[in-house]
Amino acid sequence: MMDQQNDLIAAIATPEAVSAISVVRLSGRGASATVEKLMNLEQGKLTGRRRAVGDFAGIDYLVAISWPFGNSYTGEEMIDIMCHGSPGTPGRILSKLEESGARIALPGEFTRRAWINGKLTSLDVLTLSSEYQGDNRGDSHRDLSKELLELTSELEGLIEFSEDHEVSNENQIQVLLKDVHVKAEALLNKVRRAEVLPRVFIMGPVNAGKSTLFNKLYGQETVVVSSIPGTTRDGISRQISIAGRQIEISDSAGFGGEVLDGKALTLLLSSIRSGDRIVWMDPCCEKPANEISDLHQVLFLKSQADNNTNTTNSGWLPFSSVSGEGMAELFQFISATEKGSSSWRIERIVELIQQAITAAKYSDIALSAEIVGEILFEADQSDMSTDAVERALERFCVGK
Amino acid sequence: MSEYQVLVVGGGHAGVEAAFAASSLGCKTVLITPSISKIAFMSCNPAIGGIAKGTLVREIDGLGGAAAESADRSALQFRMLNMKKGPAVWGPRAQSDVNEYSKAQSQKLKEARVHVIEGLVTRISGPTDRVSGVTLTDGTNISSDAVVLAAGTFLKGILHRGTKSWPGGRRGDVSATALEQDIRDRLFHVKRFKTGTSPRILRNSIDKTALSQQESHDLKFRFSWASKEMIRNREECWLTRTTEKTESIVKQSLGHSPLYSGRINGTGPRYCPSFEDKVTKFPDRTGHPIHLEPMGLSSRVMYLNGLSTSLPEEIQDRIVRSLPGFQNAVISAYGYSVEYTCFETGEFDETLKLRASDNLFVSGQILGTSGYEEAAATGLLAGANAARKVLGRKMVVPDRMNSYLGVMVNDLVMRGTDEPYRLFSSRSENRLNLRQDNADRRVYSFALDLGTLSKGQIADYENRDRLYESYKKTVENKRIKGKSLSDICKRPEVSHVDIAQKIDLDAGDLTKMGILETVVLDLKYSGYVKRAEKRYTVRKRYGNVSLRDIENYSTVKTITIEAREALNTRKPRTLSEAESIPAVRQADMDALVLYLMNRSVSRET
Repeated sequence: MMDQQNDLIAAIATPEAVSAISVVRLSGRGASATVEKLMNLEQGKLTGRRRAVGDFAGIDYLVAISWPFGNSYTGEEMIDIMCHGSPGTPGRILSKLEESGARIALPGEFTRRAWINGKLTSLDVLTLSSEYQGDNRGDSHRDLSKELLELTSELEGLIEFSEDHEVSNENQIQVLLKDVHVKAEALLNKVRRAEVLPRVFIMGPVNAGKSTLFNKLYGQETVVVSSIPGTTRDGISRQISIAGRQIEISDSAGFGGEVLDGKALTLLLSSIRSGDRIVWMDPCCEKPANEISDLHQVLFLKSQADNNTNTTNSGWLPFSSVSGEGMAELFQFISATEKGSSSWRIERIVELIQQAITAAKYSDIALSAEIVGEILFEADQSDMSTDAVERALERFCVGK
Repeated sequence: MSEYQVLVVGGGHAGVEAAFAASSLGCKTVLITPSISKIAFMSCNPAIGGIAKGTLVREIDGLGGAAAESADRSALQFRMLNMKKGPAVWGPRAQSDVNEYSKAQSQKLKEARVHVIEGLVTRISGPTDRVSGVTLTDGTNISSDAVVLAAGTFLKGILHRGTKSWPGGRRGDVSATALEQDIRDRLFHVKRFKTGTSPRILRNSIDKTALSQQESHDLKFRFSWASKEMIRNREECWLTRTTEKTESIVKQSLGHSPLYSGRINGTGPRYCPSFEDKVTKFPDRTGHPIHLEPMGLSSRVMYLNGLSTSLPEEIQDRIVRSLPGFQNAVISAYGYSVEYTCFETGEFDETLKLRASDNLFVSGQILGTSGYEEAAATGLLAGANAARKVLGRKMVVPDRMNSYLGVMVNDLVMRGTDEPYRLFSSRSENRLNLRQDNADRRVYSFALDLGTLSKGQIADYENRDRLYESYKKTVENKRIKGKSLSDICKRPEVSHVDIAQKIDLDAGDLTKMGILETVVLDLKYSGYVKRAEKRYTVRKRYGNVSLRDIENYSTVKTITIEAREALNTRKPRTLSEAESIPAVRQADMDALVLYLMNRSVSRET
């Protein structure tokens, strides 16, 4: 479904409530032609940046606004149909569009297209995700890049030409640097809020020692970030910070500990996303269902190793929450989860800007410029985790 | 048998270094100049160095060149530009005695046993692919195994002032018209560039009370490790500013300027602009700084730095007299511009050999550069490679991550230039490492490849290197109150002077202090430099995939016509070099990669 990048998608973009106006959004190849036909307009009347007022297939008298290819939110041919918000009207319009060949959009699919078509950067999507009820594109990543470029030209001007042309001065640089710092911090906060973090599930049969481990992690070496109830059915889930990164620990008591039944397993597998990891604990070293053991990111712990001196089993790590045996390896496994990629990267940017300010304070403009160059490189890295973006998109509503 | 192994055409900054380098490789070398009294003459401002340029002079020293020592010997005043911008962009600059510098460089040629002949070269002998020497105006033939062209602004040089124009390489010199025609007849692609110079003023006609004195820096500096003495401040410089009257005179007279009336077709330097350009490009700005610099020790003549102009004489008089303190100023020589021929990008490769020839090299302004330092450094490279070619050794290319010479040569060949090319620190991807203090360390291994260093120079370097390693070890191992000294070095407020106290180094020993400074700065910047190098490699994602055996890009069907033309002229050696050519787009790169992959598959099967 996702591989058809520009097929025609449609969705109601406003909340389902009685309102004066509702908006139905349509994007993809043929958007203009479809609406032109349904509104009985001449061919081309709704192509490019146009507007049409009229009857829509006998359903409503409405306004359709067309956005040109390459210049719309999604970057595709796109139409916003502004109809009356009376109950049922937007729904009937959507059905009509579906009859005419459009597909109902998935949550966040419009934004996803905007991202794929280069209208939004990965960071923009994450920023949007943190404030997705508004269409505010405020402090976007692009603005930061623009500001950084401006800063670069000021810095270079100061270095190369101030001796003969007096083009810039140090005060200007300090002001610009501080401005960038404020912007980057705002961006960081938004992205941090938006990011869905990779999780580590602690699982295994009853009395395998899950709760002991969980409490140990929860109580001592960790910082509680937040508690999200219900993420793993009846289990408890905590966001904690280990080894400098944020992860989610789920005590999956809800799976009952016995051999997972079909339904529970399906639920579990569907809640595991790419980047997530599982710690499977069992003092008896019995392998769980294949669906779990075949996953790559599983660490098998032979728990209660302190009072359980059976011979070692290959593939199982002897572990004890009491003696601390195997704890280092567990931490290593947890640390190897994907870093909270995007926010981690902006954290680095904020830290670098701080360094640039310090360098400028000590009259090392060349160092400031070097650091700003480094920031630009960080900000422009296109391989910014696409997983993080996909996860953020999942949280968008339909029509966004 | 040829009379000479290497023959250099031109006795300016490029020619002198070319001849000196060729001779240090042991080649029998001759230099031909139209005026023997103007060897390494400073035709424009009487100074050497500046931001990036001063660092380049220290690289020349590290590569065994002559300019650095002569700059020290002839210096009148020293300033370190960018003192408040960080050690990586400090720009050492010395005010020079023009005649002393010329004498010092002539002396260097004499010591290197370079034959200097006065004469004007009218053509190159032999077929282009293998030239055999040159012919002079009087018909004399001089044969040589390799030829280095270093003709500066002399190739069909035309001087302009106001509505007047006349042939000449610079004021008082002839134009090399016949040689330029020979180059055109050999079907080289050439272009016309222009540059200009300021009026000279009689010192005693200026009222100095109206000027501010330019502070000199008492920094104990020398460009060359071989100089026994530090630069002394022997002369004074002065600063004045243009007035609204100055700018309005220029604005009203633009119609008389050969630059603006269409008489000059050559492209001038954007960053060393004529005063006409400054007024046109920054119409709202007033009070442009003008530096007043002596042409020599107790010289009667002062140079007006910042006021390059080719307006008519009477307007130059009015402009000069509008400056504070210049009401009665007398111009001893008027400013002018010079238009000259240079080679198109693509005609030469990074060894500075012309691609169409086996033994014809180019250097200096005819490569499209501007500036004494740029000329000298390219001269050194061209001369050394010419000698290596003659001696049957492999020619070598400097790395842009290690030196400004490498940056410049790579830019000239791979990116090309549409205006006289001047070095800037920002042209480098590795600026924190391309500093003036560590120039010798950065270029040492390339200097060994070039073969220009004498045994004595190698021994001196090795002594310095031993000191460097020992200080580095001390700094890394010593701990003060539980903190390692190398961590203390990284603090922004700490300089090598503080470290010297902590390791009991005598602050009076300037050589030792200089080496400690490099140790400290290397430690300070090491993390940044490593990351810069990594970024450079990431950007160069096509790495060093060789394109050498693609003879003609017309066989690559899937690339655009522009890209094909550009690739055929530039002949990049690697994919990453191809990527840096503006006409080559991402799609062309993808097509090239596919082409290379398909070809290697068909070769394997």
